[in-house]
Amino acid sequence: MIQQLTGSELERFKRQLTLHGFTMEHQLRLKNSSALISGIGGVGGTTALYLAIAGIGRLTLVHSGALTSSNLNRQILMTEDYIGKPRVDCAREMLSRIASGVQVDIHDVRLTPENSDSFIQDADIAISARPNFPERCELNRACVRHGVPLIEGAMFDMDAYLLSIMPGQTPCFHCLFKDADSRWQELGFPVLGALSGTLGCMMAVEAIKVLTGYGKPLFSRMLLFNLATMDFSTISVQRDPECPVCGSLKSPEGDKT
Amino acid sequence: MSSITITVKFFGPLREKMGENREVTIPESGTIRAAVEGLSINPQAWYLYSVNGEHARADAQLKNGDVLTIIPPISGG
Repeated sequence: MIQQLTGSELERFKRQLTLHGFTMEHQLRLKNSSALISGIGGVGGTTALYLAIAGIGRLTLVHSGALTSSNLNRQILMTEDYIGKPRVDCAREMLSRIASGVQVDIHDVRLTPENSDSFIQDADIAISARPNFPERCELNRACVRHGVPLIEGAMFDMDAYLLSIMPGQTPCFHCLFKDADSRWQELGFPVLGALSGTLGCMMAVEAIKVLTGYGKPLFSRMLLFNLATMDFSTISVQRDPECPVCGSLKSPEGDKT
Repeated sequence: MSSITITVKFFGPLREKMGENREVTIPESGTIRAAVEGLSINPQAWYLYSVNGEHARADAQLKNGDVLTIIPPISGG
């Protein structure tokens, strides 16, 4: 059943309802949507916050691990009193205080082939924000299996990339990256909170666009940016017809993406 | 044999190693793979390539003045 906005929600969202082209229909789609967020760090935590305050109906947060003091330079949902405790617990508490109307489900686990189907099957969109390749690859495979759109973003130092994936229509993650960097250190990459937050905000914008039909998502386009130089560029990306993950999905007739 | 000169831009960890960009000269009709093999980066690693803003495969031929961007997989989240 489609949920309508309450009176307090109408007041809460009235400023974004004056965005050019953003209508009540877009807001209702958001309220009736669910997002799976894999990774509640500097990127995914920021995405969760902005989806929550924009009015998404439900968030499922999947992230394994406890908060450390070295997380606090970038993770805006985390508070010092939660050091040593599960990050997802802190994230849910903060989100409930900021946006109590959002249902937040939490799972203190890694995304694996054994549990990914259970997390993705009720999601309308997924956010890829874990700092390792195995979980990013598994989330991509799960999204392709279930036809769920995926917002893929990653950063290193002052560089980041972002794209939106619609299985069967645009390149999937595996079409673009066949192999991981074996030297990648999950807990060792350099990160400035303002950069991971910028990327997280952009991923929230992409998710809102894909969920509501507002604007033009980064389908078959990859945004690259470097915040040390403030250079932004977009490259086109194409599906790999031989992709073992999504190659068997046929593109819609006449699809140009 | 005549040659062509291209500009190579680096992303992520490669930027730390190689700098912002480099001019590279390769034989005419050379491929992306040939250009990468001339750089001191691991040619066996997987990279995403774009030429003049368009996604390209490693066997794509380059022409004089092309701008090749090399994007390694990154996973910071």
